[in-house]
Amino acid sequence: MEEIRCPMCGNPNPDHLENCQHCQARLKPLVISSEDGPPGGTTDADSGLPDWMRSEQQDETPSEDESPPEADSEGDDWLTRLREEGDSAPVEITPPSEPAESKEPEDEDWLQRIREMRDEDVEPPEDDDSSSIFDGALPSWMTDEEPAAEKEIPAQGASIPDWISTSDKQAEKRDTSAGTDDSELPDLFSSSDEDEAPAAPSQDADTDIPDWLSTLGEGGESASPQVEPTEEELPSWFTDAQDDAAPSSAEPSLVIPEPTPEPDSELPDWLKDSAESVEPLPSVESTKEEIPDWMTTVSEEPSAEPEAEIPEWLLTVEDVEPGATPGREPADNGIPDWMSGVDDEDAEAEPEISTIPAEADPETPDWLSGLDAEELSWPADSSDAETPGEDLEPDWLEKIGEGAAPDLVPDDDGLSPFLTDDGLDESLFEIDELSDLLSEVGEDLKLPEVVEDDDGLAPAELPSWLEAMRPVESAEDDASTLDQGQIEQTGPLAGLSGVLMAEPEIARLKQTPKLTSRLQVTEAQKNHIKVFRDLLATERQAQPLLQPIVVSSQGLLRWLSAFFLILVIGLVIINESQLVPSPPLVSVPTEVLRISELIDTIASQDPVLVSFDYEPGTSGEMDAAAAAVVDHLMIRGAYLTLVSTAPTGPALAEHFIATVQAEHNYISGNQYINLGYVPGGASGLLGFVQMPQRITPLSFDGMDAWTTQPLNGIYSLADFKLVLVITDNPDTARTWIEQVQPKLQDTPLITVVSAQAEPILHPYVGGENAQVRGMVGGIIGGAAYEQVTGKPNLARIYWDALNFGLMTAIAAILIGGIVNAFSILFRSKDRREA
Amino acid sequence: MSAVNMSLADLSGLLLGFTFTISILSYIVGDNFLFRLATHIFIGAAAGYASVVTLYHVILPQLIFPFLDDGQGEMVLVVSLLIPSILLLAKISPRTSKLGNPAIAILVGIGAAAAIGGAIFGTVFPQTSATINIFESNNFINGAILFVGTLTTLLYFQFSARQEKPQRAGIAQVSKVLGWIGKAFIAVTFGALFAGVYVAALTALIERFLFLWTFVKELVLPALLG
Repeated sequence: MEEIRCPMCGNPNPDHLENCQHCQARLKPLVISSEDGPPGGTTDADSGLPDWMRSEQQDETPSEDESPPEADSEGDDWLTRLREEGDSAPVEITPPSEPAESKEPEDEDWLQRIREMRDEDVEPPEDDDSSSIFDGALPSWMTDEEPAAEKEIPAQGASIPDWISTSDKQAEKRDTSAGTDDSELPDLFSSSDEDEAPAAPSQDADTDIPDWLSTLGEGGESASPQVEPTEEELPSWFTDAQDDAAPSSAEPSLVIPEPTPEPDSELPDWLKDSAESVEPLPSVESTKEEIPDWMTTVSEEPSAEPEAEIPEWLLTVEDVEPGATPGREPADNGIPDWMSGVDDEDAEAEPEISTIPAEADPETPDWLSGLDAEELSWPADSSDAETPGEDLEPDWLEKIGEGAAPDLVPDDDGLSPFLTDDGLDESLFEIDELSDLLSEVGEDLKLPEVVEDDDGLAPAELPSWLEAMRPVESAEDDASTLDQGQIEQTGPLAGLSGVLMAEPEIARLKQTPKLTSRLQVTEAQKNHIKVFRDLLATERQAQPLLQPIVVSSQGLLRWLSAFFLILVIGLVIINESQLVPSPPLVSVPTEVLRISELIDTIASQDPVLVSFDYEPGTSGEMDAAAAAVVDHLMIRGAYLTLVSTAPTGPALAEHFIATVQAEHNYISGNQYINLGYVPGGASGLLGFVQMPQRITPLSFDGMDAWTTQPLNGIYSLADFKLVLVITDNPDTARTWIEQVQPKLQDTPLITVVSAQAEPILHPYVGGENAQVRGMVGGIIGGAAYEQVTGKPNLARIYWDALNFGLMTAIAAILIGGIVNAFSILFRSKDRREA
Repeated sequence: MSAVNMSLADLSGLLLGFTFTISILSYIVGDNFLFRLATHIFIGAAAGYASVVTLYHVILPQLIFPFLDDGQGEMVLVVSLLIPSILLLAKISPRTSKLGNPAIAILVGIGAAAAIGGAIFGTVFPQTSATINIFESNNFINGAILFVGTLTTLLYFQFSARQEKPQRAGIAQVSKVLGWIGKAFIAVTFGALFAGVYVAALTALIERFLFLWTFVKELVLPALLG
């Protein structure tokens, strides 16, 4: 059973495993195609060229001077020669001076050591195990393959590709013509310049060569078979194009040479498996069937295939004559310099590459057409320039590439690199898919870097002392435990197992908790809500308004009441009715009789104070009520002093004396005196009581009242024999009672009041100790007093009218009461029925 | 009374009295121009008459004439009264109304004092004494009615009964019943007042109708009938 050493831990693994069982490192490259390179690798994907091939190309430069005549004359491409040389016996490896010189002098020392190592490679290679300090750490495949890579160098040294030598010559020309300094040139160019020196430059770095590289160099004698895989890495279309350029060699170029027998021990196990699993290309015919049409067109150009079916850029390739040198123009049109460099001197052999127009055809891949001239103008003069991606490659990648060169060993079987990958076959190189593939390759130029990175970093960077301290056992344990883990599928950690799965944790879909939006309401709160809602509902409902009882007959009733009242009173007045008898004497109130008794005590010329405190509106009633009393006083011959607390009172008093009592012929200043108006209400009346002369110095008619006969000997109100207050206002009567009566001493105070004031003033009326000795109220009192005096007056005139008016009012009240009662009864009955 | 014997002033007075009386009685058909016109004339005439009366019977005899005719001692008193009276005129303008406040204060104070003193000594004490001595009169029934009426009326205006305790609630019920009796007395009193008002109004109506009839009978009918 074959074993594969892990490039990471160096432990052997069964060849059927893809990952190391100890450290889980990948034993086999992820994408072989990227290492093998696409078919167009010669043009756009030299990164697909294995590094060992690059080194070969670099190493071939010293012998370049020897081969150019062959290349120029023969026009064979270097691949053909490689095939031929592959068939021959291994040749000594020429000193690998060019790769070392291609780097900057200040580059790592290990490059110089590589050169030294290659110098040492001239010596017979030793056994793998005899090399160096990396005995235990270096994987076996590396130790096995590196000698193989070095073995092929001598083979290539014999047959240096023309384009490589051409590039070197171009570099010479540029240096001489342009005179550019090395310092101005990029490293690649400088390296190519250095390559021109055929002297063994690698000898100066023997001591700096890493041991592992020296180990590799020791086993490099068997590298010659790998030349053919290198040839197979070149796309067939490219070889076809070369064949077209050199018709003489076209026929053999299409024939895939038999793979050089190579000992199995030099191949890694996994490569052996893959090589075994892939059937070798049987023949050219079968290849033709699978290659794209355009390739067949190129290859079958002598058969005069219609040019319309051939892409333009291929047509351009076809148009180039083998012996012509048109390579400069296409190079100026954006063809990579390395391509143009190839055909500079060997344009006859490979002009087709450099004549690819920069203006891409519709069929030209986008990535190729998108590159401008400068980008495509890779260093054509240098041998390194043929790998356009190389300048883009970091140094570490180159180192890895060198170390990873054995990955391409499967090509030793003579199989097409496209067949080594299970996922790739030649059907991918259909003309429709080729552009996509190329574009992918162009975009994924760095893809091999990733693979090689994993393979080459660890052994290259680990110092020896650290390597010695490496806990292999623990790593094995860890690897065994990591076997249980899940293999990462995506990301930079793809392919590794035991990786913490961060993504599922982050991207894990969790069911969001369901949050309820309902409020937690208790029963008590619900009851409160219900009560509140009921309240609001009742508030919103309009309360039915009680329909007011519309008495439609209200106006009519008013009219009827007025009509009947006016009718009755009018009839009575017009008729001057005396139908209603005066009140009987026995029914005369005591207070009325008492007034009569008091007036009867008044002697002639006794001063009597009479107050006329009523308004003109009630003068009719008051005149009728007071007429009998005043008439009685006049009959008694009393001097009257008239006064009033109302502004209109003095005038009413004058009117009363002049009209009602006109029969007595009282003259102002003689029988009576009108003191006029006493202002100030209660206070004024109080002042009048205390200082009557001061308050009312003049009479109403302007006389000095206090010098007149009626007021003769009067200094205060108590000097009056009687005080009579005639008023329709109970307040005025009370004011007289309160303010004047206490000051009257023995002078009686009697009142003649309106019927409306009588009930209020009646409490003040009484006997001898009463505040009001007598009172006559209204028409009724006046009529009574007339009855007492036996002398009819105004009261009697109004008596019948008053009585009929009162009866009318009583009748109206009764009728209204009855109607209202019936209406209430009917309304209640209707409510009951309803 | 005949138109021939009456003076022009009396005759015009009778005509104006008749016209304004008819205008006021026109209110029976609702508010109208004649009613409003008569009302405005009465108010204006009463105000004018009051002003004239005040001027001629108050201001001139009590402020101006003493100031001009009397001696210096009287003049000083008059001036002391005249200044507050003039300050009362400052009440016309709101900006100077504060100047009349002292005079108003004196008037209100004196008036209140007079009214309160008069009410206490002229109404409260005498009425209380009369009520106490009500049974001294021979008419016991009237005295009893007055006593009951006065007591129940006062109880009716008692609204502070508490219902917290049962015994208080019983008292409140008694007070409530007595209050109802007092309410009946109050109703009778208001009825008597209304009757007096009605009688007074009816008397005024009768007086006016009598005036009209007299005017018509003695002035219009003779003029019409020749």
